[in-house]
Amino acid sequence: MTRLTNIQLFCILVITMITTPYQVLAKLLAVTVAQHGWLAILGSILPGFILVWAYYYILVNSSRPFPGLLEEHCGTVTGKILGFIYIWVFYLVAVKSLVIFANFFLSNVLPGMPISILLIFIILPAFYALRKGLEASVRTVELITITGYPLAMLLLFFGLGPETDWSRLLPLGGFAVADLFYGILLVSTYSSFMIVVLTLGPFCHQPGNLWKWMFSAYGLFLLSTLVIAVIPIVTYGSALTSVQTFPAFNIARSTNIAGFIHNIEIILVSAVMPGVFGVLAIFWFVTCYSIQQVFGLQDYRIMVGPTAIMAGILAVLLVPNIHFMYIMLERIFPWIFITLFGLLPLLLALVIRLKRPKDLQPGMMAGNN
Amino acid sequence: MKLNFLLGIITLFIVLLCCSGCYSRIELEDSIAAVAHGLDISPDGTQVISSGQFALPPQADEEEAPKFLIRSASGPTFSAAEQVIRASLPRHPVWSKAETYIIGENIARRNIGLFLDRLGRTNAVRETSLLFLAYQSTPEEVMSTRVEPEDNAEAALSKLIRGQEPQTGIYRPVSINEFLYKVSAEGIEPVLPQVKIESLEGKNGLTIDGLAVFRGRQMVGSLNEQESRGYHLANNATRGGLFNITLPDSSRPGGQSKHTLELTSSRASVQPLYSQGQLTMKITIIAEGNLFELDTPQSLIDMAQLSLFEQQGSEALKSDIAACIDRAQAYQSDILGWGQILQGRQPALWESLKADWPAQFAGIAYEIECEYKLRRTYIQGRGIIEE
Repeated sequence: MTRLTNIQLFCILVITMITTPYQVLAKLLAVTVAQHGWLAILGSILPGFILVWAYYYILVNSSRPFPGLLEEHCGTVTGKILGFIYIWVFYLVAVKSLVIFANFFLSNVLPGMPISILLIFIILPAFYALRKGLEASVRTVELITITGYPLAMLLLFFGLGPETDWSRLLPLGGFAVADLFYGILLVSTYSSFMIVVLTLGPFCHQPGNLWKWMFSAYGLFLLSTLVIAVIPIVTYGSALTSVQTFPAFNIARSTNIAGFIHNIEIILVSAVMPGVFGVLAIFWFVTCYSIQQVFGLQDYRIMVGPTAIMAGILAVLLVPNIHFMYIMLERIFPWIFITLFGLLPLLLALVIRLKRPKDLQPGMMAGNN
Repeated sequence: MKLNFLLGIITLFIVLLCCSGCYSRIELEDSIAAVAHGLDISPDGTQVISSGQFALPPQADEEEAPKFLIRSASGPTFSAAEQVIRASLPRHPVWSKAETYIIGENIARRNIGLFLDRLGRTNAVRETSLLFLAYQSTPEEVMSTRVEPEDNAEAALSKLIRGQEPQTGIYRPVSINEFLYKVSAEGIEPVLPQVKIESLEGKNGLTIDGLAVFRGRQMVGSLNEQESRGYHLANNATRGGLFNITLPDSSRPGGQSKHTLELTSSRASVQPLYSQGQLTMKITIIAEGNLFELDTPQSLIDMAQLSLFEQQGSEALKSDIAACIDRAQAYQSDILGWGQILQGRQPALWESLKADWPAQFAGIAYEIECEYKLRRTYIQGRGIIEE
């Protein structure tokens, strides 16, 4: 069995949680709560902590990785049904990351490039990595976290030029509470991508220390999303940010440091692309692994080929245009993800808590103690 | 194992093929770079006009060979007009190389909404490019004007505006980003530097002449040089610039002497004060500078004299800012962003005023406090001539 170090799991969580918000969250928050995106991020701290607790609690009280643990806690039939649903939702996240990146790339960088070539360009390395096994993907994700993540954040900071005006975050009040709650929901959607820990956590050397790394990854997610949401607002204002398709890309386009560092958008693309590979590879692995668990297959790798072809086709068919993609990201996906990655695990944690015999010590994973 | 190795090789080849950057490529010898881009509308308002100034490849053996060519075309949209230009050019025009955009006065006075989308949507426009308004002329005429020693209008305009900012402190560059932000945000209106064609020594040349003021989607007027300096002072943290003061001097013809002071830095802050139903904007300017040139070399500059210079300096800056505010209020155009300041500091008050903001802005009382401090007198303290 492949073993992951805790730091590898931390890297996986960082990449899976941050890559998609990096591309779209600033716009989504500007549309929903104008300049108050940072308040929505602060508001998501509590739900985020609860999620981390729920995931950790499920993890240490289960003997099988997700979604096999559903059968353990909910019974075979319910567990298999839920597992089957989760297969599709994990797959949806993988395909969604492809769709967002394809739109990002084709809108801003090479509009003339056929989408099929672009999808092959992304899918093929992930396909190869998954065929090689989890270790190859995870090591790549580790490298991406060390190189791509700091570069991507640095590029955002480069956007803080002489036209930056911090007063564009004002006024502090004057927002609709319902909008703020929706903003919190949007942010929590991406923190709920931490659910991959339920599948990958049991592969770790020291599952008992996982909570520290989960909290660290979540802390980094919060800091990163604050930067992602605030910099476009202080650079462009909320009105302009809300009409841009990918504000982070506009930041890179308009970066000009003393006439010396400019035209750096291609560097941004090269920083985002490995992140997309990371999200795709991890959620694709979780999908295939879930199929193995639910259908009792010998090896998850036999599902990599068929799902690769389907992912390419679905990525083309899922959204007809970028406008529809944002409708999905704003109105449809958050409800799906928060229900299945947030509320259901929370419910599961509560069920486990209620069902747990009083004399059993918590904090020990059955499969690893 | 063999299958994985083979798969790895195939993956590598396919990825390398995709990395070659062949998509959307434009060969250098098949392209021509636009250095400036003009956007205007026909006098009857039925067609928009797109103009491009294209840099010609340098001719090694011909010094006098033309350095650029200009093409203009009209159409229902700017993109349609650019397709017409494309049809007349054997090479592919690369619009994304244009770093200067010149807006025609016609379209600015009619509806700026007609070109905003052209500036903001495609990646052919770089948001850091500079915007100018062709004052009393068309973008094509501006682009046709050669400004020695520069080869084209783009280089000339860019250097004109960037060069004068630290020296005269009247105008500053306006990027597409800044313009789009001010058009899209509530409680602030944009301005654009005006480019005028002037006859200099028998040849036409370009000068920056005032700022075009917008309200909503239209240009509503212009600021002159003094008002433009006031705008610059009231809106920004400035660095550099010279300005003149007059002091009473009975020994001089007209009873006045004129002196030039330097403004090395200034910082403006605006505070909305609301009391008894009356809104007043308090503008505070903290500035410092140097003695730059004295009309009459003074035998001794003592503290009292320096204080007089400072006082007159403060008055001069106040008068520039007041001139700008009065003009902006006359145009009902909040170019100073008072609405935005109000929105940030007193949101409830802003909510009650924003529906009729242009008219409300015109009636707002203001106070200006200016503190100008002289720091140095350069390499001379006393004047050369002793009295």
